[in-house]
Amino acid sequence: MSPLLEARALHAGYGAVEVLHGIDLSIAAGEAVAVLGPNGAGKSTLLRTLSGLVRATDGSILMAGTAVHTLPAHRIVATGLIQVPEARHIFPYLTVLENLRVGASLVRDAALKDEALDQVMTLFPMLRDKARQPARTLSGGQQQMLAIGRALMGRPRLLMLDEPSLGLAPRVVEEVYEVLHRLRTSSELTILLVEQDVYQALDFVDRAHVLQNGRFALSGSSAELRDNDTIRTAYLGL
Amino acid sequence: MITGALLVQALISGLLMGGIYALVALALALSFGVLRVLNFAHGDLLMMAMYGAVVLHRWLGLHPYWAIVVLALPMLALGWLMFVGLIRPVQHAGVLVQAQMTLGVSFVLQSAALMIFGADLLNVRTEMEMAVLRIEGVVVSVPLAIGFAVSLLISGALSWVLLGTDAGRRVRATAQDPDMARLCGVDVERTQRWVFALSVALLAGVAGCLMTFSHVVPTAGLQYSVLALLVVMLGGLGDLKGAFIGGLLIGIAEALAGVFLNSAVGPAVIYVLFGLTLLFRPQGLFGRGMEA
Repeated sequence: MSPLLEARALHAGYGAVEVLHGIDLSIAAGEAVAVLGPNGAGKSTLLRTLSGLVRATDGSILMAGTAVHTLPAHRIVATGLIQVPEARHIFPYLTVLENLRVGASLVRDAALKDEALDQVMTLFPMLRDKARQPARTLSGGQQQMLAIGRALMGRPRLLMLDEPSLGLAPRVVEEVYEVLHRLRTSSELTILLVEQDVYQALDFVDRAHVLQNGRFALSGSSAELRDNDTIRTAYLGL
Repeated sequence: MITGALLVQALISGLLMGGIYALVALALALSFGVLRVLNFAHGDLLMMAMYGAVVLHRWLGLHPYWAIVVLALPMLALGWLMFVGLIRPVQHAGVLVQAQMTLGVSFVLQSAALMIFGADLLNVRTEMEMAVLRIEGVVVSVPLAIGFAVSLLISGALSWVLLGTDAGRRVRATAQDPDMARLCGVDVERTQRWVFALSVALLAGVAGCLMTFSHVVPTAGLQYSVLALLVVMLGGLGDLKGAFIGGLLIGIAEALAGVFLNSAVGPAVIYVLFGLTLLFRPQGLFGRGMEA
């Protein structure tokens, strides 16, 4: 079976500065994969390139058989490749409900939109309670839930999350991952996770890549990486 | 001698004029909020529409209110073309390049108006031009009152679209965080194109209202551009509610200055008001970003 997402020899960067020097990434439907690595390794750039916010200068990205590396960002969303960016980026002056509705910008069918809205609000009952509030009045954890909910409104096949635990209290991080677990099991969502919290990430995913200076330095299953000496010393502090 | 009646008179006239200013400013705030490009030709585009109203009256005998309807579509097209041809190419250039571009458009439009219409002051004579309502000793100009009502109606329709429709929500999302809007599947370039076109089309409404009692010269644009800029900055850049209230305030301030000092001082007072606002509230009166 061909993978859901396949990036080949991906190069990308900002202006003259190349950040990604040839990334090969392949994710099968139903998998959860993490990209780990230190600050500045290019993790966010990788997700931004997959989403089309940063143009790939070389290489290719196939999403469900469609070449997306030449598509504008909003068209990539239509293939089901949807990102929850770092720092959440909720629309602060829109209400919670409006944030969710904007998330479904590409869903033309009103019935489908309402159905997605109902699913998201069942997943996050808090969003239903606060539907009419401006999104900026939510706490950090609630904003993260909103950002995930908004991404789900676009009916993703592959959900990419950039540091979903960043800046959140440990208890809230647990909540976020609990929701991601539920999404994996109940909706069979494929997930690509970028995370600095290596413990948390390896517990969640099937396998991971370690990104260093724009290249995958290490790849393997969660179990392999947890036992890997480099990982243990460099990231887990063991 | 300043009497209470005179004061009420000034407040009311100022408020009515302010409603029209508010629509000019609202259109500018909308395009700035969504494009992050300040359109210095805003007033000159209004001036074009005002000449359009004159032409429609001379050729076809159309009342300026008809000009609102007839000119809306050509103005929309003009805005669309201006975005595609001139604004889009400099959108990611520096602020100064953008300013040069829109200022350049301003000069071109002014010169074109001068070549076509000459430097004479043009107006549209209508029967209602001098009509007034007298309420409790206060004299209210009928065309000014109608202009206020029409501006309010257009502004209300605009805010209904922005607040109550999915397209409006996408516009506000684009203004707040364009990259995030892209990640939600919003075609940001297309949204910006239509918002800019709409901001120009709205000026047809203003032009129709103004030409029932005011006049136009090729240099009229600058006055409205400056006024809209002041209002928009007063209200907080990109803040639509602020722009609207700012428009009303400027109208009232101008009228009060005309009464207490003399009418020539009006514009100067607006600058003083503006300076004081920037001094004490540099983010504008309400400054919080795009909120309709």
